[in-house]
Order: sequence, then C-alpha cells, then structure tokens
Amino acid sequence: MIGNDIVDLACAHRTSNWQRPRFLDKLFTSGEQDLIRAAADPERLVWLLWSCKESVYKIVHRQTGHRFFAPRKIVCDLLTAQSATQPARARVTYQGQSFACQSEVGPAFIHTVAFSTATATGFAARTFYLAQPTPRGQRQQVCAGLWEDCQGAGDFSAEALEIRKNEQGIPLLFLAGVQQAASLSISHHGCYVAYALTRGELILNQKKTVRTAR
Amino acid sequence: MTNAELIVSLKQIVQPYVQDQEAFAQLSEETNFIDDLKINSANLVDIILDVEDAFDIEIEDDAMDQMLTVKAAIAIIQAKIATP
Repeated sequence: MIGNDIVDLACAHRTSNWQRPRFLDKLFTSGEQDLIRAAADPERLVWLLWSCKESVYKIVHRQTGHRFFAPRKIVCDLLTAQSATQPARARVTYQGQSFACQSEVGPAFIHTVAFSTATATGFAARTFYLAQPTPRGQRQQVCAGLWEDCQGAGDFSAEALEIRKNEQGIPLLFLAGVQQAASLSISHHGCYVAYALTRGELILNQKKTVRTAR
Repeated sequence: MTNAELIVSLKQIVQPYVQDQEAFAQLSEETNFIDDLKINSANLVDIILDVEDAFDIEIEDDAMDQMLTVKAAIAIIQAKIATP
C-alpha cells in the first residue's frame, strides 16, 4: 500500500504559524522537536516531517478504515537529507508498524511518498503546479500523468482511464472499466497536486496482463 | 454550557480555517472538519489550540485523536469543563 502527501510551502507559510506556542508540542515528539530546533531551515523540516506523518496516516487509514488525528503517535526517525541524486528518506513507525518515506524537497513544495516496508515495490510519482487550482484542473493533470504511467498496459484511450473513489474516499484506478490492483494515492495543497502509484501488473481485461512501464 | 452555546463558540473558532463555506453554513453536530469543511489537516492543530485557549482546558493526545467532528469536539469540551 502507498500513501502520499504534498505541502505547498508558500501556502503552509501563509496558513500555519509553526512558531505558535504549543504548536510543535501537539504535532511532534520531543526527538522530532530536537531535530527541528537544530535544523538550518526549521520551517522546511516542520513540513517535511509533517508530510511524512500525513502520508503514513493515509496508509494506516486505508488499512483500518478508521479516521484519527494522532500526529505524535506517528514517529519519524532515521532521517537522511536529500542529496543531488537521492530523495530525503525517513523511517516512520506507528504502533510497532514500520514505514519507509521518500520525499522530494523542492524550493516551493515537499512531496512525500510512504509505503509499508514489507511491500517496498517501486512506484511512479508526479507533482503538478496549477496557478489557479480547481478540483477539475487537478483531476485532469493527475489523469494525464497516470495515462502516461500506464502506457505499458497496451492500447487504451485517455477516456478509458478513470479514478473512482470508494466509500472511504480512497481513489481507485480503473482502466477500460477494470479496477487495478496498483495502489494510488493523491494529495493536493495550495497550488500543487501530486500522486503516487505502485508499480505492478495492469489488467485491461481478464486475458491480458502487462507490466507498468515508465 | 449547553451544546447549542458550544456550537456557537466552536463556529467562531473554526471559521478562519474553513474552505467550504456552503458546508460551514449548514454546520451541525455531524459535521466533519476535514471531509465536510475541507479544513487542511495541518490546521486541525490550530483549532485544538484555539479551543484550549478559549475554554482554558488542555486536550491530551488521546482526546485529540478523535477531534474530527463537531460532535466529538463538543463531547471533549463538555467533559473537560465539567472536571476542572
């Protein structure tokens, strides 16, 4: 299973004051707060850790169907900073379960993808900027990206790709009317929308299976 | 304090973070902060801090876990102000 979270840093700066008294205490463990205080850019680290917690929360929500708000119980450690060739990485635990997070830290956004470490297969992830974000515009971008990611599945039109939500509000990928096993997660914030899709078999009909290509 | 009075105070607290004004106009005990009012999850913590300040209470982690709906918020505030 996969979960993702995007933070538009300008939007976060506008709508949240991380220096507000007790703000950090409510969201972060004392270990995480130490990291934030020691950071060269504390605000960026606040949102990096937050996006790790949010993307892991999405996986837990998918697993349990249960909604909750417990950021301090989702604990980030083993943080490695982003390098020229590698994303930032973190190990995150929630109630004894371990997750791996990878984050792309851009100048204007942070996009984190979390997966349960037991099923660390590859994934495709994309981030889009929309100057005037609308739900429809965001959906179009996500569908266009997914369509490219799914080209390995064979001959199908862009219209044959659909995202449907289940009762829990979790997005499911359909190709030519067939629900795909690949796990899809979509996140939007401010001017950004991003998704992550696990790599795996795509099924256009019952007879034909092919690998994801990207 | 009655639940109706609490809803009035709570509306004032959540209003700055609401992104769906139509759902806000229809706010009831069943309203979910994220699903209905489209409040950003990072702003949930601001709502919790604002509630703590407004009612002079402290909301611990276990209570915070459930604070996703108007109903849950009212239950938590009522329990806290009943036992000072």
